[in-house]
Amino acid sequence: MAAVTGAKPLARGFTAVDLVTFAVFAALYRALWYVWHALNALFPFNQVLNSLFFVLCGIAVVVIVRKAWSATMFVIAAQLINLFLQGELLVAAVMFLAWGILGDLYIYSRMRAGADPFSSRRDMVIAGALMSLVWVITVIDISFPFMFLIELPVATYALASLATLVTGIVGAWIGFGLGDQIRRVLR
Amino acid sequence: MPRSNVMNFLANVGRRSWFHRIDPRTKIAVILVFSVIPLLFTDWRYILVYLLLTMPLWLTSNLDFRPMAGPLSAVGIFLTIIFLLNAVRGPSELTGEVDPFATYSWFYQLGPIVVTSHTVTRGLFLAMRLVAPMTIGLLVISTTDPTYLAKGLRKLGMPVAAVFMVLAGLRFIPIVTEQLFNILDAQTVRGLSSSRIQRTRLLVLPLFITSLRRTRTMGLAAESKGFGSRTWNEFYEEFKLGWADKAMLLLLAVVFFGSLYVRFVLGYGTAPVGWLK
Repeated sequence: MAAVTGAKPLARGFTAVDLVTFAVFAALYRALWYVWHALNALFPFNQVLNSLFFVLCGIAVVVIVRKAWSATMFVIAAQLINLFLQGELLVAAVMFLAWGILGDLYIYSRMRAGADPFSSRRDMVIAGALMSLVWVITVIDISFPFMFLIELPVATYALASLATLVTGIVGAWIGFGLGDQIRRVLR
Repeated sequence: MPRSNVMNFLANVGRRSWFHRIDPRTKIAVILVFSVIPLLFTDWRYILVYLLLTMPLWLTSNLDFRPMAGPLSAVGIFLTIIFLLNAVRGPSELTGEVDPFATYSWFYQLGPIVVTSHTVTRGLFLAMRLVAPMTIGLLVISTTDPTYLAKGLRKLGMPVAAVFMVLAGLRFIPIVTEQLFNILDAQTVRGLSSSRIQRTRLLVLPLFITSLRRTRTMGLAAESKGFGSRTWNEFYEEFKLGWADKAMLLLLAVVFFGSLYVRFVLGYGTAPVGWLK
């Protein structure tokens, strides 16, 4: 999009259009909460859908913006909304800022290697899987037992982690297709 | 959840009260203190003090609570589930290894479900400790114009990119949500089946595309006005801490340092609450 607008890039090469795109995808991620509430999925079972929609939005925005560190920027926007609108715990919101880092590092390494990861479903699914992995570790394996002090059997936590990781990967698969489709429609 | 509750969370911004008028930087300090300090304590009586401390803010902010019913009930449901997950336990609460931190004075058993005095106390505490942190942001966002809040964040040194995303995100949430409900209405009018999964599947693409078209309009408008070429440090409003701000900041400082003293110097405020002793 930066190429379309020709505007002066901001920090890390992000233009105003990119920043609004991150903010809108973060708002979409928030709006989709109402969808899964409509699906009658309540906490903690909704977290399986939460990771799906998070990675779906994250990968779609990365495919649309097509710049390194886009996932982290999306996560920053999402956590700022989370903090102010939902009233997320501050310590949790700070920790959740890590959601996009591994995926971004993978994308960055692929870019440095001369590849175009934004056009590769394989690369995007791997990046999404890494985002999902960090999501699972920080949300299911750290914040639930240690911040919210939810006492569940270890086997339940393990099962929830696995299920959430898998739905995150599914979200990456859908997100790539969605982002690519949207990009072609908007072009 | 009624759609009006989703889209009108900013309905209270235009009302007038002392809390509406105070500086956004002071409000951010309120968020920081009340979203961190209550988590240091594990004794429900200390948590109750923080809940009582936030009550005057809610009661004197001249709020219409109807538009806030949605977000507040969502927090209520979340906390109720936290309570139930911790209060309703299994037989291991009675027959497990002897845990001096989990002693109980009464218990109720119905098949595999066990509730004890300890699990109820623990569930209540765990839900209570999250009330202040999870609602104080909503109070601030409901009483502050997003632009004013963004300027306050900028005054505190937050990078322009992050501030711009906060502003755009808060502005877009009602728009995107309205669009979401419009698409659902359009699906209903066209006689789409009531399968929620099918409706969700058909919702995503038009929702994303219509939202992204708006981002282009807003982003291009911002760039055409030279966004990014300036640091956005000067505002026509005068950001000055008034007496109410100073009094509030003083009170927050007392609460903050007093809490640290009570918790870490005197060692009060802890109680056995479960597996994290």
